[in-house]
Amino acid sequence: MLRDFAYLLAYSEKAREYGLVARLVVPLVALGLVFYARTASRSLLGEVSGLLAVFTHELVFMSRIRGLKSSLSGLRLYVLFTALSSLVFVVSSLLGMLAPDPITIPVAALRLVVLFTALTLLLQVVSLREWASVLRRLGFKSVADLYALVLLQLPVVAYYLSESAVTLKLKYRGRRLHKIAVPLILLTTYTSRSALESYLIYGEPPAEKLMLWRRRDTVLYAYTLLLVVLVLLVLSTL
Amino acid sequence: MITESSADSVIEARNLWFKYPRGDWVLRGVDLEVKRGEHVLVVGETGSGKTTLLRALTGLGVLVYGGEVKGSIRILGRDLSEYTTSELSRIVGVVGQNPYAYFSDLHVGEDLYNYALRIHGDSTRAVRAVRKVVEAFSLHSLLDRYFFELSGGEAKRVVVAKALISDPPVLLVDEPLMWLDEQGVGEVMSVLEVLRRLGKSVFVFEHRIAPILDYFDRVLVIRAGVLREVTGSARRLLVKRRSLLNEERSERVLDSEREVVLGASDLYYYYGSKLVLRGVNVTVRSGDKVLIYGANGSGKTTLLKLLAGYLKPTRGRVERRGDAVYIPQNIILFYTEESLRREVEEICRSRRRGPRCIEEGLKSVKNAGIDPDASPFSLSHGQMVKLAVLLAILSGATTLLLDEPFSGLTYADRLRLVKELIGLDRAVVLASSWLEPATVSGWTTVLKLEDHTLTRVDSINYAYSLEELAEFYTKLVGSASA
Repeated sequence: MLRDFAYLLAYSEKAREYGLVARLVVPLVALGLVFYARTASRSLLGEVSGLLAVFTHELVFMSRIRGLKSSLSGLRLYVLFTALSSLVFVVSSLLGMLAPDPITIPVAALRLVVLFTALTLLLQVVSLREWASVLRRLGFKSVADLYALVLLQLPVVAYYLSESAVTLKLKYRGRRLHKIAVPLILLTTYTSRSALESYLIYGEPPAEKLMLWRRRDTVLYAYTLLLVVLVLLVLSTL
Repeated sequence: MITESSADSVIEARNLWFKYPRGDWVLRGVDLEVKRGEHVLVVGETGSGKTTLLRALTGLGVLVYGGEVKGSIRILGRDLSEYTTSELSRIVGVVGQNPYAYFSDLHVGEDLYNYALRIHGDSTRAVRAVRKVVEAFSLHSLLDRYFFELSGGEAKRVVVAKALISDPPVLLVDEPLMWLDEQGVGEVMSVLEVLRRLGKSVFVFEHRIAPILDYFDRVLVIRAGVLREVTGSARRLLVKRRSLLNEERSERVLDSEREVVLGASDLYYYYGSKLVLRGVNVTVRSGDKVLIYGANGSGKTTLLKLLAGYLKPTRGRVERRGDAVYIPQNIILFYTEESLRREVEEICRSRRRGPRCIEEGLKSVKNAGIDPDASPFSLSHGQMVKLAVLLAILSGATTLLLDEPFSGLTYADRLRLVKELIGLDRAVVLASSWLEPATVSGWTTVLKLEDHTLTRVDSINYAYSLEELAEFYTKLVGSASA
């Protein structure tokens, strides 16, 4: 599962079928709608319906660029978040501690899922060179290089996380999994030094000519517009 | 080693000293000259200063690690300090140990192309340069993959190929054969041949020297920060064989009534839509020593993770009795504590074993010649693997699963490790991409993972046994003269 998560942090070549602006519009609109649904919804049902619509849109787009099966396998991690937060709720209720309303747990989890999907989509639809080119054009050259280096190592860390999890699970019989942070931090430090060596040797990637528009973007804009109208409609009626 | 300064020197170091901040001198007066077109191999134990020498020669030791340098380094006749990093990267190709750090793009194909574009300026020349290295290293099947999907050996191949895109006159390579299977070794050797024809100077740091020894004009040994030359007669200690040796494997017969500690039946595994394992069957009994041999990317790590119960098979069943401990290829991931004493305490507590377990563990650590208060992260790779095995035994695990534990180890260390594992009183399953461990007697079963299936190996073809290699290595290092 952790290995699958690595794919949610890596951009997909297939996303390039669309122009950069259209690719960015989908996750950014999704992010906007999550916050809008939170503030503008009149009822919980309205917010849930709105969030489900956004999530469906995200999933359809993700499966278009990544394939439905691999997208869903990565999303299992989000399901884990939901399960964990539900567990916290049950335990706090049993212990008589302050616990949130039981209804808010799945809604908050759904909000989190939609939010996370939008954020990971930002990494899946824009290549490192495109991020670097955009940031350089905005005058943030050093930020661009640093950002590209970090993004490059994120999937590797996710992979190490998987390797570390299997090791420690067996070493400590499923206990002390929190200790996973220690080898990961050390390994990340070692890797970042090697990455810096590599950066100095191989240099920064060349700037990419940004392809802002493509013909097939129209379909994506149409669907996104449809989503916005639908969510606004749902929020105003429910 | 330096004779006299000459105009055709590509690398020249005189009385080179190097130390990391707050550390002692690692290089202690290295004299070195590599001539145009010369191929030089540097051999040395872990921690002897091989990687540090590479960092010093490329300036990375100062730039990245803040180290201190004394003495002089000249590359192509100019002082190292006169080069910008960009200029240096065009004339000196560098391939470090960790191949995953050498990618600048997530996609392998894009990474190679982007680097070629940066070096050659236009798309046509970039495509031509990439095509050339892709052909030379047979990288076709890897181009569409993410770099983090590659096995260690595959990643190493790609990075060596990447270093050649700029067509540098000098190539410095740190352990190019680490994690490579036989096919990968063959590819590196053929590339070395090509580089020789092209007149490139190659400076290689490597432990696994047997397959490549004959390619090098000179062999140097680095010991305690000083370089020494190996004589020609010492190099000939490795008896040349015209053909591979073939040996029927005699199975080590143990009591067949022993308890099955690990069993897998009709195992299938897919990563997404990609088939990794098909109909795999394994039975490991208590005390068995099983070696799983397979090429890079054949699915060895996946199989170990399935046996460990971490991954769920797509089809089939894995049954495990008793505890298993997994020792990963990247050994750092095994350790979590600031000292070995704490490691021992934690592993005993996780099994709810009392002070006697801790006492026994600390005694074993001391017997291994290691200070219990030392940080596990300060140990050499070999010591880390050895200690991981020791901790696994202390945990009472019935089965030890080891994934490629040999990287970074000399032949002598590899032999020592294999013998120690074979001598254990519990089951061991070891995955390896090289066959030499199979030449050590004591394995109950040797299996080969190929085309997604696991088959029993009844006879092995090999050039040198691990014992021969270890003996040769010891003599070679011992013969190096100052």
